[in-house]
Formats: sequence, structure tokens, C-alpha cells
Amino acid sequence: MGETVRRSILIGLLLTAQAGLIVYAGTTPGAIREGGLLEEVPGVQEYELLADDELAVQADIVGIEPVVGRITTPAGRERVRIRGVDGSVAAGDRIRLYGERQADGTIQASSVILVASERLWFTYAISAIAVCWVAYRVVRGWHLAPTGDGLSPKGGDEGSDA
Amino acid sequence: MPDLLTHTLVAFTLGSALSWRIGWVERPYVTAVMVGAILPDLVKIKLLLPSVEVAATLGLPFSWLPLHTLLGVMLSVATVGAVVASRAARRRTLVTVGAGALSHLILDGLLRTPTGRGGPIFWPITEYQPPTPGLYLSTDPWPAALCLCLAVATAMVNRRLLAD
Repeated sequence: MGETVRRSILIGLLLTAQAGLIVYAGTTPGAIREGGLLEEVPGVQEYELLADDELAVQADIVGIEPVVGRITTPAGRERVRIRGVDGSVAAGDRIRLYGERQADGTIQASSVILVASERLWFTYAISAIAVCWVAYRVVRGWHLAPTGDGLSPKGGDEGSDA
Repeated sequence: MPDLLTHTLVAFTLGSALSWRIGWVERPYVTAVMVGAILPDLVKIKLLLPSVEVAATLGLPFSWLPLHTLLGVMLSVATVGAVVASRAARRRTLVTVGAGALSHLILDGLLRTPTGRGGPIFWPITEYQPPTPGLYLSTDPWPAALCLCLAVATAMVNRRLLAD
């Protein structure tokens, strides 16, 4: 069997396995009730229902008097009153909180991590710089192999180490 | 998780340190370590394409989470090696990209979280979430600053070794 065919089969198997994992991860709600051990509830981002009404969730603050956050739950996106964070957040902030859902639908936060909105942009900006840096190094250090079957390191590259 | 700059700076330092001891780990393979350090953050595609929306579009259960688990990262590393690298460079590419990816997961395991636990990186083998020492937030600037200093020092050592 030729190298190309073997390689194609290997790539197909790897992508199938990855796709299988991704779909399987979307079908495991049972684990959530037993401890909420998946970071993502199937179909939900940044939301963990840990036990009973305890949850860990990421919220975008959309109001501060009272503090209201936008979260995503299995039921979809919702705005929810968050208690225990009054005075410490601003509109536009992102928080990660651990707390308990109350009977009135509000969330009583017991642990909060604030992600100030300006820092999010700083993080995105320097992450973009990192990607550009790595892309630059890839372009400078790798080329199409003489055999044409993929990339290989350029030989004798004595460029600056940056 | 720490910002990508921190990840790539750590990977640069790690790759360079490997190059001091392992002859074939030259500059291109240091770059491969840095590429590996970015791979687990493919999961950030969820910011553009939320799992909910992809699932609704495809009509299938869907979650990006596995891209940030150990098994999913290994599959990503293997795919990069199989797709991108030539046959002659494949094994070394797999090793170096894998080292970078592993460094990413380790760094993420040091993050501060509301629950004091990290993500389920061993899923689907186990859903255990390791406790995290909570050293920093992903948006803290000081890890990047610290790693930049380490990377600069590493680059200076590299230059000295090249000059010798």
C-alpha cells in the first residue's frame, strides 16, 4: 500500500476519532448530576451544575444596580440576578463564580473571580501577537520538503533566535 | 488558561533548553514546540462557534471540550504530524509538538478557578478534575512578563552557544 494511501487512512482515522470524541462529549449529561465534572454541559458553555443547586458559571455583567449577569444554561441564555458581588463589579466585566441557585432563580455567589473587561482585550491582543510570532517562525524555519510530502525544517538556518 | 503569549514563551524556553541537550532539536523544532503549545487552545473556537449553535446546525450532540483534554490534544498532535510534516520529519515533529502541547496543559493546571479545580483533562478515561494551586488568572499580565524575561535570558544563552 503506498505511503500516500497509508497517510490518508491515518489522517482519516485521526479526524474520525477526534470527531467521535467531540460528538460523544455532547452526549454525556449523566456525568453532570454526579459531580458536574465536564467543563461544558452538553450544549452549554461555561456552566457546571455540580450538585443539587450548586453551580459554577461564567457571567457577563450587564447591570450593576442590582447586579445582573448574562449566563448560558441548558435552557439557553438568560439574565440572572447575582447576589454576593454587589459593588465589586462593573458593567461589561466577566466573572466566573461558584455559588448556589436560589428558589427565586437568583444566584448566591460564594466564590467569584473577576475578569476586568480591559484585561480581556489585553489578553486577546498579546495572544494575537503570539500567534503572529509563531507563524513567522514557521515560515522562516520550515519549507516544503524536496519529496513534496509535507513540511520539513530548513537546513542551515542561522537566523536570529526570535 | 494563560494567554497564548505565555504559552509560547514557555514553549520557546522549553524547546531551547531541549536544544542545548538534544542535538536534533534545532531552531525549527523549537518552533514546533511553540506550535504544540498553541494546539490545545483550538478549543477557543467555541468563542466564534459556540457548541450550542454548532449542535443546532448539525443536529448532533456537540462539544469542543475534548480539544482541551489529554486524549484530544494527542489526537491533534498526531493529526498535525500526519498532515503537515514530511515523512522524514514526522517523528521529531510529533515529539516536539507533543512536548509543547503538554506544557500547555501543565500551565493550565496552575490557573485560579472558582471551584479550586481544573478542567477534566483526562476525560473520557475519567472525569476527575485535578485541584489547582490557583497561581494566576488567564488575564493576569505578570505570567507573560515573567516568561518574557525567561525567554529573553534563554535567547541570550542561545546566542552565546551559537557564538562558541
